[in-house]
Amino acid sequence: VITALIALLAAPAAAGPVDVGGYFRVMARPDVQGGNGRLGYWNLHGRLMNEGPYGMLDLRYDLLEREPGASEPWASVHARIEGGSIANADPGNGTLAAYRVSQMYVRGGNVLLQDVVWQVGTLEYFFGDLGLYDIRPATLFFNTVGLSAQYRNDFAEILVGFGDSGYGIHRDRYDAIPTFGGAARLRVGGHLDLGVGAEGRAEPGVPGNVNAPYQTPDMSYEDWVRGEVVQSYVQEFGEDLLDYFPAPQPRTASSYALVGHLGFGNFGPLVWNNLFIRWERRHPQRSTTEPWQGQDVELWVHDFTDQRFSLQIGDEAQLRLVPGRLDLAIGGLYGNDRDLDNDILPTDFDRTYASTVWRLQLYPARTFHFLAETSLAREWSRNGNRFREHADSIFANRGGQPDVRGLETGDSDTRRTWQAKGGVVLNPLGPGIFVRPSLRVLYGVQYSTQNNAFGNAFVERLDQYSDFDTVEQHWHHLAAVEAEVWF
Amino acid sequence: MSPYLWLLVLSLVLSGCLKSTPPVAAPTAVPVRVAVVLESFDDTDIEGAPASVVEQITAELHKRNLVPQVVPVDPSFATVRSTEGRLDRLEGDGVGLLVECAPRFSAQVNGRYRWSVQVEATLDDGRADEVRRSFKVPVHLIYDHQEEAAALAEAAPIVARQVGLLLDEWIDVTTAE
Repeated sequence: VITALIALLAAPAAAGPVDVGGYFRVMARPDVQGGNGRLGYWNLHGRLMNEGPYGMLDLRYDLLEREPGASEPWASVHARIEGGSIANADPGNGTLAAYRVSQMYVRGGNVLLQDVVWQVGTLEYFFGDLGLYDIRPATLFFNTVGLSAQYRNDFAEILVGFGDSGYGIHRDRYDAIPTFGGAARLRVGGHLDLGVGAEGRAEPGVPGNVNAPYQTPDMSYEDWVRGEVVQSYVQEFGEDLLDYFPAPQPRTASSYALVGHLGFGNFGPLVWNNLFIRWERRHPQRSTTEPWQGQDVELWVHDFTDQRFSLQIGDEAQLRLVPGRLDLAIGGLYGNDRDLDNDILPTDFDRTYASTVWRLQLYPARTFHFLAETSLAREWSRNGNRFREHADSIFANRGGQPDVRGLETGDSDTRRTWQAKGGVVLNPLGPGIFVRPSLRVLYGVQYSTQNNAFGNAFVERLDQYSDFDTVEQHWHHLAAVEAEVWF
Repeated sequence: MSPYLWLLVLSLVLSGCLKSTPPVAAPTAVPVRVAVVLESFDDTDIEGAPASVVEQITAELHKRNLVPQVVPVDPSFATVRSTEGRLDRLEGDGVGLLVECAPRFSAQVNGRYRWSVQVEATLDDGRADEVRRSFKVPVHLIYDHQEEAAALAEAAPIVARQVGLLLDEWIDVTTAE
């Protein structure tokens, strides 16, 4: 697919300029401790050694070519193909099924309005990136396809857009989610950058549409999370009345996101500092199913999932400590997810997390560098024990007495993780923490209060009939050879 | 540390300290007037390239026994859009090197800002056919406030290398004669 698209775009190159860019990272991280080649669970500990392989092609074809300094109309078509599988580097073994056309849009400028860029297609827009984490809190229109208009000059930028997020959010159970939003940013003298943005989504109820938002009435939250809604109904009314299981009632779903950005720098050793904030009310979930005597009963859960709020704050500073010799990047990330409908079940919607990542890069030669990074993270589950500190955690939290009605999934509500990574980097293009391509030989170590806090294939059940014993280990060591390139 | 690990580190250090082969130099020192122009797709103004870019380009001339004489790029360059017209602005006899750089923002790509820097490098020594090299350098900036000058600065190592190849070509031609 990728080759065909490149060929398709490259063929008429003589008639109009084609610009092909992209990114990939590939690595070998033989994990002799039973892991899957990633040091920890996720990017909270920094992207380095916690991410898998990835490939991307970004294509631009100028339909109506731009000329420097000209104010004539121009137009270009953009497409992006990306995914996370490369042969011999992950379980997918390079399958193209792991890739998708993530972006496709047409941009046109100086049409109707001077210096306004119109975009039709996918609309994703961000204020910047936390490069150490590979996380972009201040992102808008991630799920939206539609139309946007953007005006930008040397001091300010305004973006307004609208479209539909129905496929992005609900995929094959599409229901229209009209989405409106915009962003504004202000630049002051190359030292200060301020931005705000918002996005609102509404999903009107359409009675009769099986993909619209509904709520199954007379259902308790606890029964739902336990998967006992149908069982409770049958106990109360009898199996003969299962055909009269309550019909779903239509709802109107809505959600929104507010983002902010403060950037400053270009003085002293500070290259730049970016602070991002995101406050979001998540879009309600559609439905779940419960099996009952060989058939699935669909439960509509709008009212159980419409109070999920998420706060994320991230900051990253890049400092040039000794120009051309030593750079430092410091990042921090804080998140607070809250589900006001849920007071009983530990989930990712009811937690806080915080971490800091520090990366030093030393340049003894132009193309040969040393890298050192460390991170410290704390995750806390608001609704009780979520993390297993011990292979036999049932003896740690309940003295060996089983709680068959318990909803907790571990013996601690807190996970603390420390990581350190270091090694050598070959950068053909010279110094810079974020200069690519980078060829790296790294060693990483992690200590986590959670047992086996990395992707693994260990047995976790305490089952006397299992052929495999449980394993308890809190230290994780990993060596890596990896390459990362933008092109 | 095991001897194998030491060997690995040593080989990596040595690979980072490889000496590059010096390029072919002109037999006698030749003065070259150099102008590095920074254009914009969003603005009609034209500026001189950042000093770091000019330094990297002139370093390529020094390596080849060419003596750069940097010509300041003033606003009047904006009134002349053609390469030939701009070469005429490099007043004086002898050799003129014009490097026209036009960074263009393309798209936000997975956290970075993709630019492509279109470069037209032309060397004119008064003959009928100028020596010319056109190329495009992809750049992925990490901050939104970084614009044309930053994109060109990021592309400078590749621009300088390409200009060096252009100079090699010209030296080959002139030496053969």
